[in-house]
Amino acid sequence: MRLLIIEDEAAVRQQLSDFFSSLKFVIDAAPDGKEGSYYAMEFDYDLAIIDIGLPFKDGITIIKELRAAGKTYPILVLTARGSWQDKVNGLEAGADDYLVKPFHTEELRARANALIRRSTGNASPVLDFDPIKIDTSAKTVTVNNATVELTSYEYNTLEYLALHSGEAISKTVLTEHLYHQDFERDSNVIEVFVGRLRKKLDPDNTIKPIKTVRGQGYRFQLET
Amino acid sequence: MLRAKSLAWRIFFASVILMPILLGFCAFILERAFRASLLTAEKDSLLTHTYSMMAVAEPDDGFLLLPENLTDSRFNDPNSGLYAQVIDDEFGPVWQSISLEISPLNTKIPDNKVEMGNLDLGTARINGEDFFISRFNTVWEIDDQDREYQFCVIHSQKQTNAEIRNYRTTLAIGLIGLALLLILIQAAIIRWGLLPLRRLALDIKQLESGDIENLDDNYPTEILPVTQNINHLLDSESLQRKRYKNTLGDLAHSLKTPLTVIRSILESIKLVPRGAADSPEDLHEGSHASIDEQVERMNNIIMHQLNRATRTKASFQSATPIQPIIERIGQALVKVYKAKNIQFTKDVGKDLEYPAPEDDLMEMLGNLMENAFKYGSSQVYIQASHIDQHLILTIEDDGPGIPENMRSEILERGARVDTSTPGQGIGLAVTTDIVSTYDGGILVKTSHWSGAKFVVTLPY
Repeated sequence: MRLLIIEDEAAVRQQLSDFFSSLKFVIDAAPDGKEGSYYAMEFDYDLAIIDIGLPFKDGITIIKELRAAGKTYPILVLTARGSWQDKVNGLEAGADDYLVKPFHTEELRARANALIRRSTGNASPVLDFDPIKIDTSAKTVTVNNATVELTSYEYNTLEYLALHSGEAISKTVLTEHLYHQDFERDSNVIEVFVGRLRKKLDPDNTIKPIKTVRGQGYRFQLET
Repeated sequence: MLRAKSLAWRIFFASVILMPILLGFCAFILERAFRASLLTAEKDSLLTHTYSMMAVAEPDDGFLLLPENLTDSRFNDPNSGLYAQVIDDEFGPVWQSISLEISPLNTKIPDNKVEMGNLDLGTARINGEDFFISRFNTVWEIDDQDREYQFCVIHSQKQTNAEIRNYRTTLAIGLIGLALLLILIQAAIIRWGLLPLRRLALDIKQLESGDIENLDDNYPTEILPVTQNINHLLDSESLQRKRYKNTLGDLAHSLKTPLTVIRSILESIKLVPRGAADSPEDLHEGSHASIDEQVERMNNIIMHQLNRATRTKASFQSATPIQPIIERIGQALVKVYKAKNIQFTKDVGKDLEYPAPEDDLMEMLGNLMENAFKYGSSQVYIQASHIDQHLILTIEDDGPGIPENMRSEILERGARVDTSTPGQGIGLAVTTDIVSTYDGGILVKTSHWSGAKFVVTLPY
């Protein structure tokens, strides 16, 4: 998952970056409204966490501009004041949820996951593609109720494909949303992960959850 | 430009424009009246001369004869400016005063027939000089024959004009003097009239320097509303200042307790020697939970005090419409709780208003509505109405509801917020605080979905 963090408080920014990095998110972090606005416009994210009070350009303005430019990815606003005026302004500008500082990172994680799920049209935290079940909050996968051990990269690849099930996802998009920029940008890596995933999820090659779409990428598809 | 000038200047400017107009008009009227009276006097005197001529006229030998010398000696002096002649209707001038006979005007008096029996006063310019000419036509029976004669008196305007000139000079001097006097009086009146304003400025300066605390009531009725409002403002400002000071004190004081707890936790961690019998894991877990609890408490304290400090029940408060606030918060919450697919219904009068700042109403409603969205499973209903001088707000949900024994406790949490209630949101406490600021009440009941129902009553 690719995540944008716009937060001027260095300690909070670092803490959020570390926290989401540990969850294998791909992070872009900006310390002010100008830089943040640039990132937000330039790239497609799975989620943006934007502080309301920012130097150069406030969070509300950035959100308004993003929505006006047709960016639809979910946005979570952080507010220090916590007044309803702030919350309502943020939501009216186009944010999808808010969190008042100080917050627990666990709470933030739950909200972030819910927003990402919601934005892809999945209401429940458990993605149920019989016989494959993906629990996005516990980050576990079961096939026929038997837990499958996955590395975090494998899990993230599967989760991304499953959240966008039915869509063909190109290797480039997968790379962008799943791996840090300093990661070897070799599409072979994706092929390796997908190959391993297929083997782990479907050792007998009977379910065939991930299909290769020629020239377009991969598509996760199972009857739900 | 006019706006920038002083009040005194405005009044002065207006009167300086108005005064010449008024005085000029005055001068015009006075001059006209004086001229009219002079003319009347002239007419009278010419009529008198005519009558005295008639009195000495004697018919003789078919003609009317007058003595050569008239009693008024001016008629005998060519430089006197007073002349007379009698003109026969048929034969022309039959008699002339000596003054006229030897004057160059002699033949230059214009002929002019006038109506019988009336004195006609005309003017004429002869040899560069202005004259009044009175003519009186009369019929004289001489030898049983009616003959018509015109008695004509000519009087130079030199004297009259000199009198008018004199009068004008006097008038001008008088009016200019009056104008100057009026300006002086005006300036004095303005100074005196605006004296209270000057005093006000001085008093306000004294307020600034802290020499006095309030403006006295010793002001003219026009300024009294201003000074009273200033006093009002001062009072509420000092009240606010007092509240800020108290809040700051409370805040600092109440933050010390959790800080002390945190410090003692830190010290107890330090005191445990490495590899002690107590499991370090447990100790770590326990300290973490305690510190987290204290941080939560500090956060609640800050929110609570901040809310209390910034809220004032202003004495002049314009009414805030209720419906848009509910609409906005409702839309925002529907978005946040999209996944729950909450059915949000409201029954709020479009014209409903309440005299409180929008912020206060938003905090109050936001916290109650968020609770409903949070705890409700699929339904949130809000109703607002104006009953018996009260604004009644009802917020209902279809969640688990609040057990009866908990109801008063959750509302009282506001009062105990700085003592301790870890892990609980401060939202409801803020709402309770705001409601009590407006002398309102809040009740917890059971909604008709057997969920929670909050009823807020705010007096108008």
